[in-house]
Amino acid sequence: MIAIERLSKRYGETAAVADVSLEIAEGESLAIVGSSGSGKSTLLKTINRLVEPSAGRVVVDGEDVSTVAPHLLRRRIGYVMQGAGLFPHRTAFENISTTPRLLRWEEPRIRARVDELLTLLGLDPATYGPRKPHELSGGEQQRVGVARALAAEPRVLLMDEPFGALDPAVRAKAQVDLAALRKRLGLTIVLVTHDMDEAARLGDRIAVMHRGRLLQQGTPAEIFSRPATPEVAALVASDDRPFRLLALGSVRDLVEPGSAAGDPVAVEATLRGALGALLWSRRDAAPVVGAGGEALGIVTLKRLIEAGAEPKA
Amino acid sequence: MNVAFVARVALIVSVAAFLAAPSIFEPLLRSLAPEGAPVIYRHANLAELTALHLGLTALALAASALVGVILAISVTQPWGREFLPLSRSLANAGQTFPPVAVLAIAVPAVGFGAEPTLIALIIYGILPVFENALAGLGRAPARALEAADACGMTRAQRLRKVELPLALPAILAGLRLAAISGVATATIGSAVAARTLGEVVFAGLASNNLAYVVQGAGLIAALAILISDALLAMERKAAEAFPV
Ligand SMILES: Nc1ncnc2c1ncn2[C@@H]1O[C@H](COP(=O)(O)OP(=O)(O)OP(=O)(O)O)[C@@H](O)[C@H]1O
Ligand SMILES: [Mg+2]
Repeated sequence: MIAIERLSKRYGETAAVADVSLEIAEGESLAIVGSSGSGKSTLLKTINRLVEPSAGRVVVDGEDVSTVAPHLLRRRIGYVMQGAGLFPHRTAFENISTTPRLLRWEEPRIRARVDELLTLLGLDPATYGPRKPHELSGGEQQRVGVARALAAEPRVLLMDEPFGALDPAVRAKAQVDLAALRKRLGLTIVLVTHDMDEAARLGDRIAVMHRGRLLQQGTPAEIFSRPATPEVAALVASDDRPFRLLALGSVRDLVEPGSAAGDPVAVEATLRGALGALLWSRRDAAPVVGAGGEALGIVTLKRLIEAGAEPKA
Repeated sequence: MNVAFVARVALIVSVAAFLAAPSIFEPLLRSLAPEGAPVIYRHANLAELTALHLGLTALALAASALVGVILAISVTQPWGREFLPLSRSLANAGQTFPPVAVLAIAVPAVGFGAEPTLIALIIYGILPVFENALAGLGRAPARALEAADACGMTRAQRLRKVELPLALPAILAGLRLAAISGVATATIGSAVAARTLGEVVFAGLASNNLAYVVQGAGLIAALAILISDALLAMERKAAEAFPV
């Protein structure tokens, strides 16, 4: 568990972070969003002491981080940054093995761990392990960066705009992979992003920052449907807000009894997917089926449209 | 097999042949010597002088490399940063003194011979090594440095595993500059009785024997070219192994 308690950081006159308190539960993932310069990176870096706070403290697993030597603290916390930040003179293998080596792991254990991570991230160890960063694509570099952060089996992963430098297709794939990885490893993740969609996709909760202050925290649905301040509203307001909201819900929430004609939609599909299917086939309702193809009822256009509308006060 | 490679091999072969048996080259040089004067320098063994010349240069180079690199590391650490401007101007001042002046000042202090030359050589070698090491240490991308910290490296580990490897090509470039100027400066050392190839050149100038001058200067030039080549090759290797 991570607790950020009344944390502030000033740089001369500017307050990069101002009196922020936040808790991140074990196994939870928190996305920090906000405009440029709002203090997201600064806040994130106080967790592994890349930044020392001016006031307040950070507690990880009951331990005040300021009482732990920074280099020892950082060996237990994974950190991924924008553009991967790989060591240019070291191969992918060497990059990934950095922290395990600092921890003096045995050679066979290091080798096994690196191979495991490369495989997990979809990179063939024999092909990619010996490559230098300049011989990898941006997406591959990013995956090696994630592997490096995970190498020493941390339970906490900090990510600062990890996918910011990737093109949209690679980025979407990276997001899916991260979600799977998180589930598999039970990681606690704090992710900084300025992409609201990414925040909604990867965060169990979203924290919105503005000029160093924490304006609101809550589930993606709460943030999208009930922004607490005009600044949050401005951040989430856009023409496709209904679709973002729909993308967060699953068809399971809206199934009702009945029957309908045409291709069925899966109960695990997003509401956004179901709406798309109905719009495209000019239907008012579609049958809903479970994972085994069994009929579960129908989902209607009317309910879908309501689900995408602003909640009534 | 390109031209440059062939030329290099030819240069090495001729230097080796000349040092092993200088008299083979006597017919080539005869026309440069005055009537009746000796053509080949015989007051000392040329191979021995060459070895002494190289040894003196190498010793000084090792010392200036050590001092230059340590100095560059020191002034890029948090505790040494305030000495950066001072050490820069000191190293620069060392360079603006002409070598002869350094020799002239060093002789009364340490006497004639190899020592004053060594001092001058070391002083001259420090600046190029220092400046290049400094540039090299600044070459590591900020992101890589942040990554080193985030991975849990201590400052010393970061220096050893990230900053120095990335600085190596630049450090080697500095060594190369220092080596070339060192080979030249060692020549002047013979003016204060250091045993170097300068002895041959000065003997030639004193007795108006152009053959001597050509032998000495030719050997010195060949040494400078070969050393520079070798270091340049190392530099390229290092840049390949440690790209930025
Ligand atoms: N090392 C520093 N020295 C001085 N000011 C800094 C430093 N780091 C950050 N700041 C300032 O603190 C504020 C917050 O910066 P921070 O990097 O945390 O913003 P951010 O939300 O991550 O922005 P972005 O989305 O652009 O990355 C900015 O005004 C920035 O200029
Ligand atoms: Mg940032």
